[in-house]
Amino acid sequence: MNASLRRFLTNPKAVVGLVILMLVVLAAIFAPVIFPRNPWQMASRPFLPPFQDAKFWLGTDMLGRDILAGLAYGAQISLIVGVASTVVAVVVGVLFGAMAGYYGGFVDDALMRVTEFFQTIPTFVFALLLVAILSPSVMSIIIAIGVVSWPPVARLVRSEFASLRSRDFVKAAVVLGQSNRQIIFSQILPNTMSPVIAMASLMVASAILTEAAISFLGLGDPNMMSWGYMVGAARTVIRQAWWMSFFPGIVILLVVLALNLVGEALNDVLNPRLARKGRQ
Amino acid sequence: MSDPLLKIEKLTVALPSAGDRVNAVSDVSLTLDKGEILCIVGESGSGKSITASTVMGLLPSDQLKITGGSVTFDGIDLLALDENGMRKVRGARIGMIFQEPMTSLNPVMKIGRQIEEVMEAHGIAREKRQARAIELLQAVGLPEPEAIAERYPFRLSGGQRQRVMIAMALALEPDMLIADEPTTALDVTTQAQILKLIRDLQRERGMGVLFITHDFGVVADIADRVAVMQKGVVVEVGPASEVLVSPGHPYTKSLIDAVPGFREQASAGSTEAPVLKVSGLRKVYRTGGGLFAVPKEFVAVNDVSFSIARGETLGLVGESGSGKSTIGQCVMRINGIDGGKVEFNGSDIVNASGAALKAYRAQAQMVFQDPFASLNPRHKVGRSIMAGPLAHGVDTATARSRMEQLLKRVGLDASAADRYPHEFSGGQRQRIGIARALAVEPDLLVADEAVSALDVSVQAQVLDLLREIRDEFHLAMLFITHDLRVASQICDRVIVLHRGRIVEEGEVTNVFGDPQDSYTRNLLAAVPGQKWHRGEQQALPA
Repeated sequence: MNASLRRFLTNPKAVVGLVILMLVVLAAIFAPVIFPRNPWQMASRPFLPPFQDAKFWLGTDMLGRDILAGLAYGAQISLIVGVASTVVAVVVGVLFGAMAGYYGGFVDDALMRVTEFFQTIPTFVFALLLVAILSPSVMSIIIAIGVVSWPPVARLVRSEFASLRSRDFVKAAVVLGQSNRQIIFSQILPNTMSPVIAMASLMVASAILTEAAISFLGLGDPNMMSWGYMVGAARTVIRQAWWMSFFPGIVILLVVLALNLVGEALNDVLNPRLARKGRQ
Repeated sequence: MSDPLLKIEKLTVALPSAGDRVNAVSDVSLTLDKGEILCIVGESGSGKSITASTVMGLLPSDQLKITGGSVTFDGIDLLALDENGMRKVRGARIGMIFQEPMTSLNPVMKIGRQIEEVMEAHGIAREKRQARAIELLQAVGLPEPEAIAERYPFRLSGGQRQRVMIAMALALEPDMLIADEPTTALDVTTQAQILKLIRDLQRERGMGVLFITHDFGVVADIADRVAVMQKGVVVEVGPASEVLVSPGHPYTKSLIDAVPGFREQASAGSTEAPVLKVSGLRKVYRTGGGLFAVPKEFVAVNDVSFSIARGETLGLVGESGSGKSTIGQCVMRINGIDGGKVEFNGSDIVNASGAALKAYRAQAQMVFQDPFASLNPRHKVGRSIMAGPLAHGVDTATARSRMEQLLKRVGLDASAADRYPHEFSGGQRQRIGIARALAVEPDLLVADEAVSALDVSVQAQVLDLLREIRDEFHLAMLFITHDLRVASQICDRVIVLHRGRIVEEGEVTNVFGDPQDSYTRNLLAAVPGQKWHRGEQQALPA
């Protein structure tokens, strides 16, 4: 593991990605310290362009709210939603995939038909629908994104389980009298984790994008400042005040890029065979 | 005398840094004449395949670099050729056959077309190709060559595919053939046929053949000259008759000594009551099938009965598809069965479940074939060995002390417990697998091809270990193998299986010394290196 960690940390993609992510995490944690004022409150005159007032580097929006403060608070919800919904998706996906791949037969058929049912509905529309039904809040957004993004995890885990199931070390565990639960969780699952971790890092990125899109459409949590909301609210004045939607947009881009870089670096390190095949 | 066909001089290929040695092969000098078969023999990691790949220009150049020496083929310096020049030599002047016939043919292209493609690449006129392909298929002894040419590879058996590979290698009448373990993946009777085919074709066409193998029996059957490699260095070269009968180098001697021969002395057998009793066992595999299709049935095991007592080893031998591994899995309850009875200490285990099945799991254990796949790569060795006792409710301290004792018993250091499987060699892993099986203190041990993946010297050690353990723990052992020589070494009684049925059974020296069934006789006749073994034994002082 140490060698893998070293390889990961010396990968330039991983370094760039991690630096950006660290900045975002710090911003999210220290937002209340750096910007003690509520980000929804008016801070200065409306339509203040960026780089003119030293107190408001990135300017203010049409209601005079500080854009930089909004970005810092927005980082909170983006990270919470991204990480929490991915955890939900991975837990559900791993459970479904593990059962289907390990038991096979009828269990596999039943679970996979359920998975396909979820896959046939366009994910974004489905997520929007769920948020609308559950009423907009951080919790409902997390649940909605989690619910629409577990099927790929389940399929991945299922195929890994199905191939590891017939390995001799699993047969040995059966013969040694280990229970199915022990075999699933202690023998097979650790061997499927590498691709799942790489996939999860990319899922965080797409969850952040989905959250931004939901907020853009006005279905975000009304009490939390969000990058998607900032872009959405500013779109009507984009010709007079480009900065209001530009900066949140850039931040979304950078974070998603950073997560993709980290995800790819993880993939290179954890699945070296696949990575090499891709490069040649 | 004219120059040799192939001349390898002082060839050195460097390994990427951080390997266990600096060079994959170092200072290798070999020659091959026209009409001669040179066998390069050595254990895994000896550099024999790398030597062959260098000649073919097939080294993965980003990992292995040639740092010195020369390879001259018929006056051409092969190492100086660019990719284009090499392509003209490859196939046309030097043919090559690989180990794995299942993966070296394109699965979605007809056999005839694949052979024609080789000729197409070297500019043979279209009209001639088809007739030539059929001629080649005939030359390699395939029945109905016209029909075979129209088939896809999946319809051919392993031996047939290897014949197709040979036909492809011969398509342009090369002067030299490189064969890299061409018979290792084949059954013993098929191996004998392929060896004969290579020998016949080589005589007929006067080719030079560079034959790579790990099996001294094969060497004895086919080689004119032998080069023995150890850790990248050629330790001995000479005519086969000399090297095999009176090896000069101690390493060669140790390798030859490790080759299992047929046992002469009859086994005493066991007089105890049997622990495992199998009667009328039947297992059917069903594939395909669903809502609208009738599943295909394949009877893997048909009416097989046997019993084993403690302190006794019963061998199951047969070729691939004979059902021998299936029987092992049925006995271990990895597979269900479709008929018959399996009884252990008088109680039925086929329908055992819950506590009864768990109790059986503590009494019957298995050692697997592939030492690389049979240990969980993410678990430390100690954890793997302790998993069994812990699953049966033994407390951690007892499990740990038992694990440490067993590691020592199988010849490993107790510190091995804290290392991961990838830090061990194949033979060491197999010892770990044996320790894992013994950790639950079983009465019955099923060894499924437990030594087949190991080098011959390691094989001998693991066989010794299994024999000692059987006596020490007073185990009943079911030993499954395709190798009759290995079976003869370790088994007391042996069952010969053919297509899921028992064709012959009895005390091992009786069965192998005086086979009654024609199938057993064929199997025995196909074992490589028999003349050599007999000669060796005659040469020994009485």
